[in-house]
Amino acid sequence: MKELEDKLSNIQLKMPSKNYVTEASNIIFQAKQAERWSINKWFLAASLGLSLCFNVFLFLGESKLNKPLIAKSDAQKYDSGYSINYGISLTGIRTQNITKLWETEQ
Amino acid sequence: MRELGKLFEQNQSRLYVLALSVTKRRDLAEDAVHDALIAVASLQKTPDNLKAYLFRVVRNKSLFIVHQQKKTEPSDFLNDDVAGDHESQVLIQQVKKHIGQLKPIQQEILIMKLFGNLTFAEIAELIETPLNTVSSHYRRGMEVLKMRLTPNERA
Repeated sequence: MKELEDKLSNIQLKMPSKNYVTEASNIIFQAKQAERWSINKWFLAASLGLSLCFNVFLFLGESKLNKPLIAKSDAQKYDSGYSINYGISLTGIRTQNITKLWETEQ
Repeated sequence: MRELGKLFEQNQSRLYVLALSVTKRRDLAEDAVHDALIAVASLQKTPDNLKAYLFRVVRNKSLFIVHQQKKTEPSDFLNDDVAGDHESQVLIQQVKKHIGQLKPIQQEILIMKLFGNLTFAEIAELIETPLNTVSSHYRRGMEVLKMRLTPNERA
């Protein structure tokens, strides 16, 4: 059997074609790209979701107070504080205070 | 995905030999490896042992491809480009003819061991079979092949 083994071991398998590695590299590259896009997609979806929530949040708060919190003339003045106050108003805890603050300022 | 790329770079030859031992055709072996890479790359969650998983998928894809073949194509796994060596040419033709008559698992092991130059330990790992089973399949396969290749010695 050893003799036959020696004879046979001189025979080689056919080598893969050049396309074998190229094609495999392409597959892996495309998978990497798809994975990167998939991560970006989730990030984009999360950003859009948060943005949408925030807008709904503002809309509901505005309708609860029954008037726009950001008046055109005072928009610049209260620009930085409104969103935070809005959040509190939606919970129903500090709505009165915010309204009062607004009226006082008006 | 980076892990898959690295794994392929390190094992491209072994993956090919494994697929070739099942399909016995170069083109089908390459297809099987590529199909396996696509399958593994599209997984949502990376398996715990990616290497073992990849080898298993390659083998399964190879078996599937062979099963899909409607007509038996002549085997094309040995390098018969041995110019001028008539004895080797004859031996290659005989091996091609007779190896197909062995049990499928014996064919796989013989091809990987004799022509792919893999060790028993490597083959056992690739086909997820105990080492002793691999070596006994090899021994039995070699005995049958020897009888077929050298019938005169038996008489």
